[in-house]
Amino acid sequence: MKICVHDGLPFTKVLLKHRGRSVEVDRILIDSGSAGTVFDVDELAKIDLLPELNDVICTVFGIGGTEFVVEKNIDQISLMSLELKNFPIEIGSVDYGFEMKGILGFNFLVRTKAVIDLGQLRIYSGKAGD
Amino acid sequence: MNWKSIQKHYPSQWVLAEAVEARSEGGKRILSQLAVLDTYPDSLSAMRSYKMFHKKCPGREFYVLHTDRRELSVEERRWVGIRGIR
Repeated sequence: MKICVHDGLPFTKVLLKHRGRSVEVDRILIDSGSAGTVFDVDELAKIDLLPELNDVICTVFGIGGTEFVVEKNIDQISLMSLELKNFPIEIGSVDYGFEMKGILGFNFLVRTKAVIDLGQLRIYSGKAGD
Repeated sequence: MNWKSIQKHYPSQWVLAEAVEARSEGGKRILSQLAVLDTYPDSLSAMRSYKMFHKKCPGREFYVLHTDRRELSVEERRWVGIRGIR
């Protein structure tokens, strides 16, 4: 999958599937400096993946403020051959001052054994056989 | 208001609340006093309202909660990187 550079940062797109519905979301930041993976609530609403009564809730303290997120497991998240089922994601506001819809964090990158090739600006799975 | 009073005053609905009195303890955020900003029929409209408030005031501590929630248990995480940029 191609990596696109906007505002000096690496972005890609992912396919999210949940309960038989799917949505392709562009403008996803590839961020090995974020432990978790988070998506904009309005994108997840397209596949009816919304906060429910007894979900785990978190508050994230960063340098510029605090952020509220809700934890959920999504049926499937994929980026070409990088694919995970029943993967924990966060639902949030994803408002970091420029256009983006989510973050692929370290938990996704490490579990898919992602290879980020900045010479070719591509991201792919480094698993044997891929 | 504490969580019990909020549950009593705003039964079975989604609320956007702001932490008025809170502390961090063992990886949890303990919310002892909250102020309810508004109520919503569903979680999407509550989250959209959260987005607006959060954009205007990123330093304030807001929560989207359903008042039928069994326990007000909030995990706390610290992060730098892009998620700290405003």
